[in-house]
Amino acid sequence: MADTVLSVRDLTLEYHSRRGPVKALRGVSFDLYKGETLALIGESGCGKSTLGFALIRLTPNSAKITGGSICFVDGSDQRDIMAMSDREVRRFRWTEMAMMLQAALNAFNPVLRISDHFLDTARAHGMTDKAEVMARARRLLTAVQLDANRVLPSYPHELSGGMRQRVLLALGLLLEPKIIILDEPTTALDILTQRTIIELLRRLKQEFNFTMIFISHDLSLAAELADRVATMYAGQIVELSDVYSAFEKPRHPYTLGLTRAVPTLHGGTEALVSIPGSPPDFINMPSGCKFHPRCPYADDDCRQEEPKLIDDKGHLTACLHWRQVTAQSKARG
Amino acid sequence: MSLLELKHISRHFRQMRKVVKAVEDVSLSIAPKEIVCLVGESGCGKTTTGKMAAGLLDPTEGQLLFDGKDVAAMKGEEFNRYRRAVQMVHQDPFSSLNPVRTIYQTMSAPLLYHKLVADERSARRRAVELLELVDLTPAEEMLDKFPHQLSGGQRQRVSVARALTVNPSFIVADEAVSMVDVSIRASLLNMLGRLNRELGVSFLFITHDLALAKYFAWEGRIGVMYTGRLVELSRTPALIERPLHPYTQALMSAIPEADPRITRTKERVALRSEDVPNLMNLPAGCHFHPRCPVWLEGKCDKLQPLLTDMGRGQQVACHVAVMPS
Amino acid sequence: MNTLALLGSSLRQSLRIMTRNKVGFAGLCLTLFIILGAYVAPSFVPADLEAHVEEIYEGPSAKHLLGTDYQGRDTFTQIVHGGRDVIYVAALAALLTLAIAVTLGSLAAVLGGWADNLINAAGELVLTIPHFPLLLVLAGFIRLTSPSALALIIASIGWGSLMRTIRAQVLSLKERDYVQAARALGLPTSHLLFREIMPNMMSFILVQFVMSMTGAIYNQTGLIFLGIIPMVTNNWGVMINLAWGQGAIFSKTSTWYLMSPIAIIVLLQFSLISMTRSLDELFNPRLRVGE
Repeated sequence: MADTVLSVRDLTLEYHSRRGPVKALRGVSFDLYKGETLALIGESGCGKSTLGFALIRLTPNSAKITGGSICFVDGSDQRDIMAMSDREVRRFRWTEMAMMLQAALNAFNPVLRISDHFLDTARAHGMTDKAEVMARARRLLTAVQLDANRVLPSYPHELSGGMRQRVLLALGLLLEPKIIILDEPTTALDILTQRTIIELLRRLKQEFNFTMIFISHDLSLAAELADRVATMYAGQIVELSDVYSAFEKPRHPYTLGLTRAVPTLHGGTEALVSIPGSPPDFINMPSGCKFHPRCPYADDDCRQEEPKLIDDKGHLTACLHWRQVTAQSKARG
Repeated sequence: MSLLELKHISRHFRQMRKVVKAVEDVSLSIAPKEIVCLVGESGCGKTTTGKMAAGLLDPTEGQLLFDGKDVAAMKGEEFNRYRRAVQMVHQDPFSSLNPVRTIYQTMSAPLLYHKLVADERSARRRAVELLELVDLTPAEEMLDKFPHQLSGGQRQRVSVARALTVNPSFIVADEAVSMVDVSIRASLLNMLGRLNRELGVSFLFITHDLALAKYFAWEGRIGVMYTGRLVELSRTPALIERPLHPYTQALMSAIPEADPRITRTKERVALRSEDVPNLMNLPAGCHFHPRCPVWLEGKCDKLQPLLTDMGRGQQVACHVAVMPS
Repeated sequence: MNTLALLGSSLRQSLRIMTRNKVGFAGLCLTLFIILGAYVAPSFVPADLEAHVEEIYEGPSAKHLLGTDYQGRDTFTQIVHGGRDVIYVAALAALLTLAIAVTLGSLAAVLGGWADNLINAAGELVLTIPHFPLLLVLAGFIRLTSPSALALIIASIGWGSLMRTIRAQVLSLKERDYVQAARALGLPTSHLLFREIMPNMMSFILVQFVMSMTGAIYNQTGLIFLGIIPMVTNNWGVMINLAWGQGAIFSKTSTWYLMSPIAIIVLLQFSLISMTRSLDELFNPRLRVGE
């Protein structure tokens, strides 16, 4: 088994809303292996972004992690991220684990040049050698296919959206973090720009050898880049498998439903099927399995007990009837 | 006989002394019961074209013809007929319904104003019928709710039902499913498809998602727009199998697909430049030539290609594509 | 109009919504207290306004809660009786200003073209002409003895800025998808304005009304203080004028006479402004129907 770089166990997070406490994460457990790309897939409100923020402890003040652990593994050294002090976490962020946010195209300081952004980031994490920072910045900008000579002296508004996205990637890699978390990296980008970013991520990963988690509602992104796919629903991971199994032999009805709901350009023209109903209200969750009101396989057992993640040869599923589901998806072919 | 026809439609506006050609010389004719999808990236002018087709924006040049007659020249009852026949469904489920009016109030307003029903009671009945038509059940309960009490998908259905109150023959749907959860999109599209088949409503469906366009308009046509111009217009199966315009080819190869085997083995079309053209400073000749892998120096950078019929239901605006191979 | 129904049929809900913001609710209570006091309390406090020369400029005591004025009259009594006119003029002026601004602003936004240009020009004219000098000139021609006339004058001079704000709001709401959809459905302009746009502006309009009131209070107080308005009744503004003119600032006990009307006016302004915090959400349907 490949090395584990991150180990999450039973992570629960609660935040306070006007209508009462909301358990946005309800016992999330998974391992992240060195060098892999893990896709966190789910629709609005499933908790995927919350999970991303929780991993790097960037959750808003109203949110509290009420249980579980996040262990960062660096060789033989294991560190519990939850137990770190604020200072330690700040140092940890960006140097070991970096997160790139969805609305980050506006994260630039409009009165600072790009070169200053690099210098500031480096200085904030203890790198004061200007020459070294600039050399690294140049290397990274070239890696993201930008002309360093043109970009470094520019202000953010002088660059296009696609270029800014690439500068952000370069900034994220400046301190050579081991893990990068990307939140909806291609949403709101045009198709051709999206393609550039996807290829870039592929190349960067090969060149700099980091581990990547990306959060998205876009299944096609997972199909492109992911080694493994985790599907989230109602604050939990309901399926975790390699990417081919996720699309061809899913074991959870929700994953199966998602793959049948999305059209492909070069695939066939069979009818798309929606998943009936809508995501649960976190204040008023259904009993047992949270997906059962929308599930064609649901029976009384499903309504009573919430299924745990069952590991079957590396393919994790939280469903009592997974064998039925996988038989059906196999039949479909 | 076309139901709605855009004839050399343009929409220009002035920005800081420069003329921005948001839409330039677009000609498109949609037949009754037909589905046409307009696809393109942001800034290509598809939304503006949709708004002009729906009569919400006036074209700067060109004509909008409804049932063969120029809409700009219509007055009184004739214009009212057009106004009711062509409706629009917007993208954002959060702003497409008035937040301080109940579903019933929103739907009854056109029913009562145009005297399509006799009184409030029949308005209520008709509203229920329409909500059931768009698969919003239990319809009776929905009527007295406010938009914020409905989910995004439900709100989009109400938008469609509202459009149906005036018995339109044509609906412009601008990214109508983009802001709805992925798992719900399919049933919305299937519902719209049903309206097309059973009620005979034509659709101009605007989207940036080519895969969605393929699914929805499989029996119809797809038009591809780039920097305000229509660069390809073909029957969907033909476009998917044999895209003629280099931009369409690039788009199709660039789109990630929800199937790892397909998407990781797709051949990518490499473009010559990453720069997205600025509408205020468009390249001369064919707008796509700076990025086009097959451009012809001397021709593509000088002459604007026009939409040409290639037979087999395919039209393309490209110097290279129309050349005999 | 359905918005009034929304408000009327659920007065209790409105109250509940207003309690959500503590400061806003405190403002509401204080405002109601002062206004009610100004209209009701005079029935309970006899207006003994005879001169008592032996009690000139006394400080606060059990007999005179706020001391006495330059003629030995009880300050507290004067405060209690002095609010009606001020509040009446303020409310009427605000109402009239709002009426003018909303009418002109919406017309400008909805009609566009020459109507828009005309109304804008008029608004700019009204904005640029300095208020006090103009009122000074008007006072020379019109006898400003009735509070209603005063309110009308204040309104006719002060609608410029509010009209522009309203116009901007209507212009912005006009582009909302649901308004465009109503347009596409062939619904008439009157429907768009009164049924689609206005109901979404109610909270805004209400807040503007309260702010207009505060402006009108300042305006009239200033006018009275400058002596432009003839002082017919003894209201708070008149008290300030008299106190200043009679040198009430010069002794420790007499300042109570000067400060009392100033304090009550400031208190009223403060409570009005605080109240607006609760008004923002008053027409939000999300808070009216259980989710």
